[in-house]
Amino acid sequence: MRGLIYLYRRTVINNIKRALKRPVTYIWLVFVAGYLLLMGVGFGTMIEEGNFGTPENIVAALSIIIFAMIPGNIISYSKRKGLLFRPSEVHFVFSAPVSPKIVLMFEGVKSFIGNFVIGILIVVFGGLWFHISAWQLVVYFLFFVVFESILEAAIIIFCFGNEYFGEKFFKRLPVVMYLFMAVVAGTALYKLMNGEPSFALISDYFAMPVIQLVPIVGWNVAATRLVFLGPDTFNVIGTALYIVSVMGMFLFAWKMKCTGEYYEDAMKFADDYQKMRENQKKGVASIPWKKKNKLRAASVEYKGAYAKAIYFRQMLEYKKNPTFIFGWNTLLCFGLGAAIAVISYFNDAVSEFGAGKIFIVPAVVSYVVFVFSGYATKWSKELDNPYTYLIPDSPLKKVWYATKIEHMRAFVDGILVTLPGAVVLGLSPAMTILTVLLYVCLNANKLYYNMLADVLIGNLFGNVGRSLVRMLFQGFAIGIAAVAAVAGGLLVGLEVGFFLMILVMGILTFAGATVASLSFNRMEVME
Amino acid sequence: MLEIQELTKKYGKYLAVDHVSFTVPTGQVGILLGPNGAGKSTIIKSIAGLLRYQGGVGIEHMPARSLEAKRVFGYVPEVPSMFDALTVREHIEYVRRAYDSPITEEEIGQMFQRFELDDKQDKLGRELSKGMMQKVSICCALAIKPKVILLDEPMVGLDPAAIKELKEVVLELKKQGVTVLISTHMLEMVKDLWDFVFIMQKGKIIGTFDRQQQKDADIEELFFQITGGGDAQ
Repeated sequence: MRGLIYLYRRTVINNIKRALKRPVTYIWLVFVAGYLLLMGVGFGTMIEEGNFGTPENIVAALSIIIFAMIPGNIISYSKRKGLLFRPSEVHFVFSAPVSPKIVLMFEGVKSFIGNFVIGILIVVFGGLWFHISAWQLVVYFLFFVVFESILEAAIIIFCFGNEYFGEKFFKRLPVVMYLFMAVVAGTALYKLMNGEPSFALISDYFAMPVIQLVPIVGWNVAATRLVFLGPDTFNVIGTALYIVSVMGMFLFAWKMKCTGEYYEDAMKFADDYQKMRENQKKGVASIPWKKKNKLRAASVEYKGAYAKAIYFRQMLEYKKNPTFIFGWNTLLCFGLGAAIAVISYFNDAVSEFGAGKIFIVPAVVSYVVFVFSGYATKWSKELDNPYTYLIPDSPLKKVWYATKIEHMRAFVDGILVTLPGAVVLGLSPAMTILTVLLYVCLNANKLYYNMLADVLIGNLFGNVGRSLVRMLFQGFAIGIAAVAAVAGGLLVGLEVGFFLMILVMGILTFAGATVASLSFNRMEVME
Repeated sequence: MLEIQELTKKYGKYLAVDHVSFTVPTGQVGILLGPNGAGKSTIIKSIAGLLRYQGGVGIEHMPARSLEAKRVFGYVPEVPSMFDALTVREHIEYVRRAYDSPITEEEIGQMFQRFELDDKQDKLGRELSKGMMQKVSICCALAIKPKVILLDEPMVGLDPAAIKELKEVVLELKKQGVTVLISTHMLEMVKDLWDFVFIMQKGKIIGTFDRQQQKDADIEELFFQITGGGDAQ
């Protein structure tokens, strides 16, 4: 116990000290403060304008959170995935003379801190916008932080530390929880579809005695109603049952035998998580729900030598991958394309935007490509490989062949994003192809400007700093290309303007790639 | 004393360790040998309490999972993992507090000097090389002042000076009555250290040798004699 307290204290102090030494921390703080301020002001205005600021509505919002949070916790903990142990903890904590239950509680601290933060947010939101009195907020804060944390601690110990119920029990428990959530969501949806859709309907739903008497989750809602709306028969009974059940679960967890058999699962999860993080960093494509990618047998014919070998080797690796070059990003692009088509169709975008409809898809994809940092891809793995630098070829060629597949992947993604919208909006084939090319160009721009940011600032300002520098360069490039597009559009026509935009963007991207190829010159550039 | 009784471990349907039993008496050095995939790491992890298993593991006549047994048990895993945000010195301090170890400042200083860590005390875990991590991992296990110590491939990643130092440390531990179990591939490195050798293959112990009974026979010869590899092939 003393060791764990020391470990946590030193970790927090050292991390704070380190963060204070890094300029990026201060940039981050400014961004986060600005973001929170904007969100707060926006949220407040929205609540006031919508006359949403009533105790009934905060109770309804909290009820939704409670009904999602508690079963969600049980699901993740019973899969033994809710707590993330690191390899260093496996090494130094699991073998230490500390009760395995205490180990669980120390790992659960992050969740308990989360409850504390949620509690503070409820106090701030409730006081500022929902007209709740101070004593009610204090009582609810204490109730939420204390009882929610005790409940969570008991669930953690029951699910992780349980050595009595077998594997089958913990495989069935999440299924039961999913079913429960589906039934609650289904009946709520049924009520919404059969009435005038409004938030008041959700409020009425959670006010139903049958909901308030659902074990644990409903009892928690009953307690929330008691504090904010005053007593009635059901919420008093529900609250009493909640307090008794939480204390009962706490006692059960306290007495339960736990010798640390969960260490094996925790260790496996720590290893899997570590591998997943490494794969993500190296850009190994995968579909999220596919568990383990078993590699297929594949072959490739090397047509060419020197830097071209990088491309063919990558192609061989991708051919062995069951999902080839496609991954979660492909799914996102497909979803985004479908969303553009559906929203355009239901909002009659063709008549709404007129000739400007051709800019809908480019505007959406530009925003997405510009704002999101994107995913690491196989090309970045090349920079970790000493052989890349030893290949006797020019850095620019190495850059091209290391990233060639990314352009192919962007082309497929571009088709998925563009085609559904193009059909609904009635874009011409030429315009559709130009839009796809623009997507490829934007992605290439992002890729090479990321590389450029690496070359220019390295790891000086961390990932955030790199993204900001990349966004700055890319913002300039998009701005210049947009000016060219407007000029071309005004002087000749829309298609020419569009083509000019891609051309200018292409030239700027090539310039960025040429400078960025420095990173393929010497391995130490990336250090 | 370290006692393993009928230890069996399955991964799904795969039987990794099959009814393994052996004992390393107090103050003796046991060497666990075997080719890759023989089940050595599974046994080591089971003793360290990281795996579920059938059978029994006793440390100083106490069940290995009990807190009392853990208090006197040191473990050096095959792949060391440091706390990113803790310095070398803070790793030792954590161990001292976690085990309520009686190790003194002077002893810590000597240990750092022996493993050439005295100028690395303020380095963070994330800044250490693999070899440095291994040295810190060994120092942490020694800082417990254990009665039983488990070393899983301890020489991997160490420089020659550290290997020499580690061998001396093992002999000193033996003199102090500490029970040592080393799992390794490097026969050459443990030829002067062993009292007992346990040779594993396909999850079973296929040979156990006592140095006194073998009249100081060469460990390499014993290994290849029973596994049929090396010159014996």
